[in-house]
Amino acid sequence: MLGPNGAGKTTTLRCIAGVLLPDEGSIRINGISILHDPVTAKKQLGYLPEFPQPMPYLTVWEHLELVARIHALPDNWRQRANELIQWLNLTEWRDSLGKSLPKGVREKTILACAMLPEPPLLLLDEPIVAIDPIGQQVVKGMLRDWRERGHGILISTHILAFAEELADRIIMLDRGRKIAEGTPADLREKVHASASAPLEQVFAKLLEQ
Amino acid sequence: MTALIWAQGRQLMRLLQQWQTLLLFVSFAFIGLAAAIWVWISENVFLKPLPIRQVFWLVLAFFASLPLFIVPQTFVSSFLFSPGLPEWKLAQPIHARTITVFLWASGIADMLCLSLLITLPAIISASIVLKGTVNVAAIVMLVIVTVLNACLGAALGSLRMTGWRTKLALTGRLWWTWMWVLFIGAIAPYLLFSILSYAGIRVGWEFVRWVETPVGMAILLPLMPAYHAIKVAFDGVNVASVLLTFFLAGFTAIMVWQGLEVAVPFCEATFLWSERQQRLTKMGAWDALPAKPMKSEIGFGSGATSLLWLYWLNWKRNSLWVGELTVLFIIPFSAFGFEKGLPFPSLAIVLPLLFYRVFFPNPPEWLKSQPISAGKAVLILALPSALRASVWGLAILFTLALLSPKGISIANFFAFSLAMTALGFGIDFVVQALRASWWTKFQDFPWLAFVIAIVLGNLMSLTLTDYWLLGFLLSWAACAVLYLWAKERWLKEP
Repeated sequence: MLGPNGAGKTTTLRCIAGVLLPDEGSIRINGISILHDPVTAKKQLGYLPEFPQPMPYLTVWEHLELVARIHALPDNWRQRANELIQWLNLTEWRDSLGKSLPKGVREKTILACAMLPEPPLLLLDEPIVAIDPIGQQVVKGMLRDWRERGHGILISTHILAFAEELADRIIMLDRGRKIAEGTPADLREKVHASASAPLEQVFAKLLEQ
Repeated sequence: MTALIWAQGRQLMRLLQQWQTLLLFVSFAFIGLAAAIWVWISENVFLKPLPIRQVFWLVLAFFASLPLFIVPQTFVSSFLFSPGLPEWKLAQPIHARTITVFLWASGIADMLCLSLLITLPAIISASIVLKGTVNVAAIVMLVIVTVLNACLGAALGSLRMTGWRTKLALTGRLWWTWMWVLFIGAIAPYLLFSILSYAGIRVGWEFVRWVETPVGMAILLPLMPAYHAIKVAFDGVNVASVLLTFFLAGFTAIMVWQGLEVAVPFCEATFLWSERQQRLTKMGAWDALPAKPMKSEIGFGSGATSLLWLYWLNWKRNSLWVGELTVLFIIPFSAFGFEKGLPFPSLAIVLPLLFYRVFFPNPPEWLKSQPISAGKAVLILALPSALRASVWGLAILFTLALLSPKGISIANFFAFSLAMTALGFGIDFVVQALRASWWTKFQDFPWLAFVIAIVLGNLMSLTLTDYWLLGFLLSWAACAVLYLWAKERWLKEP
């Protein structure tokens, strides 16, 4: 999901995640309405907000335990949590309180929380902005793996290269409305750009239109 | 500098247009007004004996010295959620000393309002009732001492935040520690007096005369300038008050000079407020300390009930258990007030409950996206407040049962204890709902009516023997409305 500042990307993600009620319309996740059955629908998703705020007095591990308890995950969640901690390079922060975590580690912690229950859909709002380059590679690798296992990911981002690298489909928003949708190739075709044209150019032309 | 003042002035004007700010000022004025009303009601009977007047002056001297306890630089940010010194402001080409003076000025202005709004109405009304010598000279002296205390508080705050690193900072540290020792030391006599009063042992106040002896003045030196400035409003200007004011002015000037010596690290410490605790070590050291690792604990609960584990960890690790000691003050105070015919019990509990809830972080977005129903989450997060209010309510009832010669009927006992549970829930729902909207919407004001309804219900269930059922129902009905409101806010606000 791409769009200029104030396009409504974060609001859209918040509505899908069930933290904000939409004024109109309906949202279904795997066929379950988030408005009518929010608890079942929320079991189908993991959400990383734009400004992830861990609980100040919980350690990284306790965040994962809290999510496991809320989702009532089977006992093997600990093995999965340990894997996530290793993959995301959180081992040295495992027993640190949320209030003492640096920005990038906060983001990775909440990302781990979102991924722990292995939901069919991940909602990520600017997921790699605060993470260091090596961490970005790790996260990208995990997201690719996630996609290959058949899970859905909806990402809101300003980093066009990131979108082009990972996205099967791109939705463009402007002032609260969808202005284009399709594969990167579809969007290029729509603005009559060459196959090698950078996405920035396509983005600018779509906005002009 | 003038540009900064312009920006701050513009912000201040806009802050003053918000009802939250006005409410804050009104509440300060109300504290002062309540003291003034109390003085008027009691006429000169209560305050006439000199020792009681001396206690009164001492209590007010604590209020006039408030800037020495609270760091003025952080006062605004802690109450009005506005950052003291954002990084971009610090990066402007302005001398650190100028920014320091600017920060002090904003802090001092706030602390001055707080001190004066609380102390002035009480002092003036008491002086008029007692036919004291309140006049322009007395008010000017009181204002000067309060301003000096605020300046001293700002300078000591700066020295403290930078690790007391200057040559003369040790004197400032002594003064600051001295004030805290006096403040904590004042709690012990209060508790002792309460216990002895309840035990029926009459305590004379004659010993308070000791305050104005040379030894007493030496021990209470940090409080004495404010004490004597207040006394001037009753007895007129005397040599001691003038000398103490000059002494305070001299000491403040030295500390301000010392505070300006550490302007650069002070500015740094102000914008690094959250990391300050980690960065500050012993005097002069400014190295980052590694965060202390915790031991991750095994949780409890499943689904929505696991939020109780979250609450428990926050309560334990944020040292909120220390606050439970407030019970020691609230229960004797409110029960004693009730015995004297004042409707204190429920009102006295509202404020600590509010403070408790505000210290629990607002559920972040990622937590709200978890599969928990909004209704359950709102209810479970309010459970600890309800439990706390119930326990406090029971303690009040037992204290009253011991104190009151008439005793309390069984119906009133049960109605009040259950109404207190409603009060705990209700206050929690209010904080949850208002925090979701960041206290910004004026149209949310009806919450106040429902809180008043709960408190009234509490009072009815305790005081009106025949209408206990009505009081009980009123409390729970208002609580139900607040629950629906908090639930709606949980769903509608991110």
